Amino acid sequence: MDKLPRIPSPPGTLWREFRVTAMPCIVFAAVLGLTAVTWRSYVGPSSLVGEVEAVRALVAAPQAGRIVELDVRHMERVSKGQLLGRIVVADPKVLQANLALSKARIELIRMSPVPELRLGNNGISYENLRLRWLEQRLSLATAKSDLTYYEAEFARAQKLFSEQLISQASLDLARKNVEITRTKIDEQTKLLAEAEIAIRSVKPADPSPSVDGMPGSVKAAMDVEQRNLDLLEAQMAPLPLVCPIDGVVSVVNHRVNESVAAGEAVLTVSAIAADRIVAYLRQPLTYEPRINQRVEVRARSHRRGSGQGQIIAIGAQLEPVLAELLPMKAANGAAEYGRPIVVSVPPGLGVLPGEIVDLRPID
Amino acid sequence: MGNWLLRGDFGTVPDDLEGMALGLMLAFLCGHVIAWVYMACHSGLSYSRSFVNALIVLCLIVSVVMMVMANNILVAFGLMAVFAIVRFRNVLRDTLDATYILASITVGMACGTRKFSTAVLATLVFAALMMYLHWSRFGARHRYDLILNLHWARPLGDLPDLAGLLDRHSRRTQLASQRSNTGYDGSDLSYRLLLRDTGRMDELVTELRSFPGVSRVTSLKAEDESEV
Repeated sequence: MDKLPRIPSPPGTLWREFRVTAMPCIVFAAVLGLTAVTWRSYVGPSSLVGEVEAVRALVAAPQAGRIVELDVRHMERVSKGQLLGRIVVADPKVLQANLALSKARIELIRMSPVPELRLGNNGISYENLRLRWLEQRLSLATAKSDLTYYEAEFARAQKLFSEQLISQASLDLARKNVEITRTKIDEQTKLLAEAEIAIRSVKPADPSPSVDGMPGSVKAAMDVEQRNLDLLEAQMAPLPLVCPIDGVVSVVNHRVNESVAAGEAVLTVSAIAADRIVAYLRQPLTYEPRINQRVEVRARSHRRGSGQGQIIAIGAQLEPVLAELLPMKAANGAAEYGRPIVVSVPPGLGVLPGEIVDLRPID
Repeated sequence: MGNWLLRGDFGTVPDDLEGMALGLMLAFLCGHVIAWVYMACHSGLSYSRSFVNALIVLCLIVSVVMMVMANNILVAFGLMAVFAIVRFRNVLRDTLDATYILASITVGMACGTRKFSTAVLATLVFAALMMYLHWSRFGARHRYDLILNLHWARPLGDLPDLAGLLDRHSRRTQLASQRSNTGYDGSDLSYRLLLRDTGRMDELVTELRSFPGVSRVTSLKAEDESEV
């Protein structure tokens, strides 16, 4: 029997047949392909979880004192060696008292039964010049201490004047005090320099009491006052707070005019970039990591960038795994131990310090 | 895709779009495979296309549920409570109906927990999935248009001649039953046909009736809705 010709199917029937029979397979294949692509670009196999090492440096007060200047703000970029602020070690009132005490002691030395010293300005002996030099230094230190006070007063007056709480005359007076004191400091600084030259010119080769007939006790007292003056000047000079690393000010612990204890952190500076990743090989330890072993590092941030780093250090013992690296933080706070591994950050990966990354040993 | 969708999650644990999309696609694929396995392995009379569809949809919705819950036990209790309230008030006879309810609850929870991206994405994916299942009539195993019963008086060895005629009209032919008794000439045959052109069904019946050896031709048109 001859084969009968098949009747043609109308387009509607063909279309229905297509969507009923072929469409599920096509959709499944399409979604499968899309899933595979997304999986490769997004998930990636990871056997280790690590954290880009966050480098933080504390800028601490070297001595107890008061912050008189803070030049940076929160989240401000800073560079290594940059001056971040200043701390005045001594309290102004204590400093003033010490200066007054030193002044009284020098006056006491002048009242000693040594003729050259009692001659006052007419004397030209070395010790007489030295005593005058000490007096000038003391006067300069007092002027500097006054300047600190007057500057604070002027700043306060400016604020009060802006709020219309004091008159223009009061503001002018505060400004005048600052200017006069500055002028005084300038003049005394010059005078002190000249006095130092004069002292050097008359300084005896042998400063023994037999040379100028000065009693040893008076000389010793003058030495003590000179050292005391050195100490006061050092205390008056503000201590600089220097930035130890390049980074960003991440924490500001204290503000201007706050008092800080010795060693107390004033600022925290966080590094902008990091070059190490700290990962933990969780138990059970399934493989033995090697130094210089290549590791694929995959960021968890948007776009999931990846690169190759190297194992640069391997811990000798198991240590507590950082809580943020555990898949689910234990509700009871129980610690999990793993073997720490340090991996270099692949160049150009663009991960931030503190960011969590996925790691996979390659070979 | 705009940032409004990428960064629309304000919940306690915000999800990223790639992760959510990957989870949903995997759920779809896994559910699809499970449904196919069910279709291939199911035996008995209780087969339901709606149930097969529900296997896929449930897989996907549960993945959204887990995204919304995000390890939050309070949200989990909330989901159970809401679903229990709906289930208690309304007896859902169809599994697929239950998935619609579950989808609505889940999307509502996503909105309520400020996971707006999740809510938008889940709604779009759910809608696309349901349209796809409906459009492709996914889960229909016995696709045929016509049930054809006839008496074949000639020897069974001549059946290929009849098959030639059926092949002319039918894209797929399935001999569903064949009955022959002792002392009874010929055989009663029952065919399931997927027609090439459903509009020419009468033409097929006419040709069969004039075909040598064929008699007592009856036909029953099978509609799409015959298999729920």
